[in-house]
Amino acid sequence: MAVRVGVDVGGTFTDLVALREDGAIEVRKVVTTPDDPAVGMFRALDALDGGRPRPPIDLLVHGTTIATNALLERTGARVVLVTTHGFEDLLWLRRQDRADLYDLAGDHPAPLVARRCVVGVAERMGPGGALESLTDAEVARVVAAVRELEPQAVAVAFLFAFRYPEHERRIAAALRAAAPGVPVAASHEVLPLFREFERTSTTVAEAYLRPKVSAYLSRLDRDVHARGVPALRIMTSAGGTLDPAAAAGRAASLALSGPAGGVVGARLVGAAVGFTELLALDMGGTSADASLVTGGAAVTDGGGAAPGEGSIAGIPIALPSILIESVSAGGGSIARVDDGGALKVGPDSAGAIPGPACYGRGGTRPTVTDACLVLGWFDASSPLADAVRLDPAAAEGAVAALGPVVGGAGGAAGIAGGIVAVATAVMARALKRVSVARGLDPRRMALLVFGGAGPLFGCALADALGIGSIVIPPHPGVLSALGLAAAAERVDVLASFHRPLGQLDAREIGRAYTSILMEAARQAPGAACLRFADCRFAGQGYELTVPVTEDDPREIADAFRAAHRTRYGHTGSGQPIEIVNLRVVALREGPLPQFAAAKRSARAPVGRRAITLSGERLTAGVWSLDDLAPGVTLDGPAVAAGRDATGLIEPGWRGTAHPSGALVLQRR
Amino acid sequence: MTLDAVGLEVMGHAFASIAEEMGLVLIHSSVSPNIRERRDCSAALFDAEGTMVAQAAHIPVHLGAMPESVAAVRALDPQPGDVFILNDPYAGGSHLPDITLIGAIEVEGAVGGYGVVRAHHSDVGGVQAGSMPSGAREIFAEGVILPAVRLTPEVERLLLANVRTPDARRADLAAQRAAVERGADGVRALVKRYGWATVRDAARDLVVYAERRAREALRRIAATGLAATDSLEGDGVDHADLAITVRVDIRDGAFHADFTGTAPAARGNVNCPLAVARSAVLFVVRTLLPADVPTNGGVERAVRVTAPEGCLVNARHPSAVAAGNVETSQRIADTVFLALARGGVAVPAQGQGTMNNVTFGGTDVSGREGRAWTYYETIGGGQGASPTAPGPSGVHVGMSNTRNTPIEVLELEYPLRVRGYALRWGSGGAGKWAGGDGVIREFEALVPMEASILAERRRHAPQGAAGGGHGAPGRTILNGTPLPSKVGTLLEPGDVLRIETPGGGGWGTPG
Repeated sequence: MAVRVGVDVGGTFTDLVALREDGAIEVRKVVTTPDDPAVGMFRALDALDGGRPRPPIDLLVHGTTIATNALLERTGARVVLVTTHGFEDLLWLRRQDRADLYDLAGDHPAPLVARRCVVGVAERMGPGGALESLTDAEVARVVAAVRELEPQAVAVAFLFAFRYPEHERRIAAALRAAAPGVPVAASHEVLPLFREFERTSTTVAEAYLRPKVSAYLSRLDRDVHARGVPALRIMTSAGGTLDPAAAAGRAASLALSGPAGGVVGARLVGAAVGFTELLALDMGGTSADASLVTGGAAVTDGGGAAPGEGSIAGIPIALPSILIESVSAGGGSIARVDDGGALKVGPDSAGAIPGPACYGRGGTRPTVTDACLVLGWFDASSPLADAVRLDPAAAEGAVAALGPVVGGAGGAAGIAGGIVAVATAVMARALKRVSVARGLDPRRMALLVFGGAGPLFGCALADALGIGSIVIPPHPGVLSALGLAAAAERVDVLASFHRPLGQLDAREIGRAYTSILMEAARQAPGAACLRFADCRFAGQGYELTVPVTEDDPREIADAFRAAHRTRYGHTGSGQPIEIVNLRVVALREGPLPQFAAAKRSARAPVGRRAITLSGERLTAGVWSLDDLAPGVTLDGPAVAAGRDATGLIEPGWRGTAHPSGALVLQRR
Repeated sequence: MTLDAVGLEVMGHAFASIAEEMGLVLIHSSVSPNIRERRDCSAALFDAEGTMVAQAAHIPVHLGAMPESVAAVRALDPQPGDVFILNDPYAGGSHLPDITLIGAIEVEGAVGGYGVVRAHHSDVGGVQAGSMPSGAREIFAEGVILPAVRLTPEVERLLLANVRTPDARRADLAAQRAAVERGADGVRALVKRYGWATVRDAARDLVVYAERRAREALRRIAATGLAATDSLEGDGVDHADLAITVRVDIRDGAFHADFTGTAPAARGNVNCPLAVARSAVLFVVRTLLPADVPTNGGVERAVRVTAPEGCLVNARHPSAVAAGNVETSQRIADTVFLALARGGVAVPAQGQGTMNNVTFGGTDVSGREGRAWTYYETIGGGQGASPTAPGPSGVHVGMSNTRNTPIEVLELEYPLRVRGYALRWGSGGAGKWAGGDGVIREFEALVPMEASILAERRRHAPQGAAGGGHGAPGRTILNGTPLPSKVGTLLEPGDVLRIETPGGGGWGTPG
């Protein structure tokens, strides 16, 4: 019996989910080892054995923060940027907008490359082809100049290379030949799209990350094989998985590898319980991440859709990525009162050390977790997953200290109620930015809440957004790892096209996809290939991606107009439609987890507890979240406490345990 | 106040989301590079009484002048669902290219508020393609004037008949209108969820809250009688300096700027209506407030701006104003900062103090038969160093915060080639903290075309502060020959126009 394993290496914990063919899920949680994430990963893998022989693992899918951390901590490679002469400063000029409208001292983070490591090349492509040709002598000069700078990686990004890549190709080939050990990332390979700043920035990020990511992945691949696991795949920011060699060559596409697993998990659980339109919220220790699943697929951003808006650690990376809106409203986010009397949550976080006041590790400032404990949502008598004991007196003291300024709200419970309401508002805004702000009505969606603290806020968030259904997935605290275990293999191939739709016939459209379909099939043999087109009205600067099921240009036009009306509320003013890019997504789904609930048998609460909700003192039934028998119903107020997360069912809501192990809440 | 601390935060997010969404609808579905790439546009929500409730943080000079637009519409007995259009600087606008659409939001059968979207259209007609002519002497030369009127198909036809590029304008207006309507939908969705009374009260409370925060912050600054004078380098008709003089009094949490002593309205187009002066002063005040104070109509209640009728910063019809909004507004902000610095308030040294407005236009004869085109951009420069940090380089300062047009977009869509685009290294003033560096951008004309440059700080350098050095003045160079700060000219194929933008002033004596 084969097993797929997902390992999510987070900032604090490394989560592992083993998914057996029969759907049984095993969970392990160990402390992350930041110096070498593989150490924690293998500790978790060894813990899976538990002394007993385990069935063979046939696939290990990894969500990694190695790229994210290298960007945040600036620990990537020494990069040389080779670019068109006269435009060497592009990364410093960015798009000219300042970092902050009113903070005049605020500046953007420095580029990932040092200015003295930029080499200008005498060459120039324009909108119609070469304006200045690239001579062999110049190629030789540039290769020598680059070697002189002793780079660990090289980025090549020329103007108009998205349309005319010949010069980039020649320089890249010469550099690779001269120094085979130094990786070279060329912009036409990394991101063949117009807008030179975003393309250059993304290419530099690729070069910056590639040595570190490829070294980590090749060692990990070796170690994984040494433990008898035949296959390792890596989660990308777009929610698909790549084999280690492919991932090593697309290092920048791993920048959101970690959170992407959660979105995949959300999609699978949604499908298991019958929801294809989902708002997902992952509430962790320091932040909450909102994302979106629509039509049963995770919504992606980046690429041509929003250049410059997709940035990680201040570095624009315009690659397809799952749409994630992060806000600083995690369990460890600190509450404070500003000088105007408004209660704020975040952006400061108590982190893992010292942690919330109730952890008793020296924290004194009130956090969202402290507020939840004061309200009785957590059980002080049972330790959290990481063996941390909760100290209600410390939580109360910290929360009450805010009191005199808030006014009106009575006692620690009143203030705690305020803290959770503000955290709810902040998270609701993130959820709205991924839905309302994209023309999608949250009221037509279900809300899936996960992460250790997410399920506590489901009802409050659903109320704020007018949502009628909430899904608490099985094992909500490790959903990201579950998503990894079950993730599809996915390859995105893109080609710049830029033709008016009205001048194309069905045959031309069919033909245009041939080469990228072949490329996708080469990268993911046997996968199902889906075709998409990025379309816009002539003159627009942003495209909408529509599925291409028929070659008929009229069908594509209709699909585009409908998508445009949905997103923007109008269908232009009579401009012709253009196809800007062609996309092929090669997809091979993983075996669906069966979420079999073999041993779930609880039909009654395990106890009762006083909790505070909206200022009212209520008695709530306390259930064992991981053990609910299929079909059993929980009427709010109720608390469902699991090993890795706690859920809250507010009055007016009824939870029904789904055979999958998810708990589905509906308004009564 | 009926809202508690929690409600303030919740509703503040709700209104701000709606304004942000309005802006995104416009940016993502418009067609002009000036709107979709450079984002020269702004969005805001107003209550039924005409007070700004929330804004999307876009362009300072737009946002401060929007209340006048709503006031102009409110005088016309707006009915629920009406959408108005205006650009008249003397009746709610700023300069003619900034076309503002104002939607009267229907809530429960009445006007519940206003959604406002302002965008700089790079063609509103007038004597010169691009509608930013240098040296215009009357507003009539600058383009078509739209007093606040309902945006009917007939009005749109009239407008489009007066511009060189009607197709682009029609498409941008469709996107702008959709953005206004998205704002109305957003407010109604909020009302459905919380009830009208709650939403209305929340809007009022947010304004009261912002005013209280603004006054508290201003109360910590006691400074009266702070005076400063700075000057513009001519009006495009002649090149004599024009003085802008301000006296600032901060007293009991209120900020008063008075411009008595400022030069009379000029013959050229550097004049501005008082709304623009108010925007510039509000911008300065906003930089003095804590970051989390919401920017809404409450802040301006703590700010008073006065200026003699008919002076440069409170011009009267029919003074020309195209450069006033973009250049004089910068100098007003500079002058107010200068006054504050004299009073010991910790403010940055002067930034580039100009937007370096470059306009091209003509009839493209390179294959796209007889198609008229217009192009507008502004260019960033050096920010002044502050008491705690160097000045950022190559950014928009002060009253603008647009983006650049990508070179690949510019060359794909217009008969222009960018020959170079670089930081102007070393142009920032020296200091304990150096001023930011300016930008060099070099354009080559590929067909015959008109060009207009409206710029400043070509003679008078941005000043350093506290012993810091001055930034390098900007330069406008045509085929190697320097041009004055404001100039209109014809370009032939092969002509090269090079813009070197000013550096920012340094702060403190160099160590």
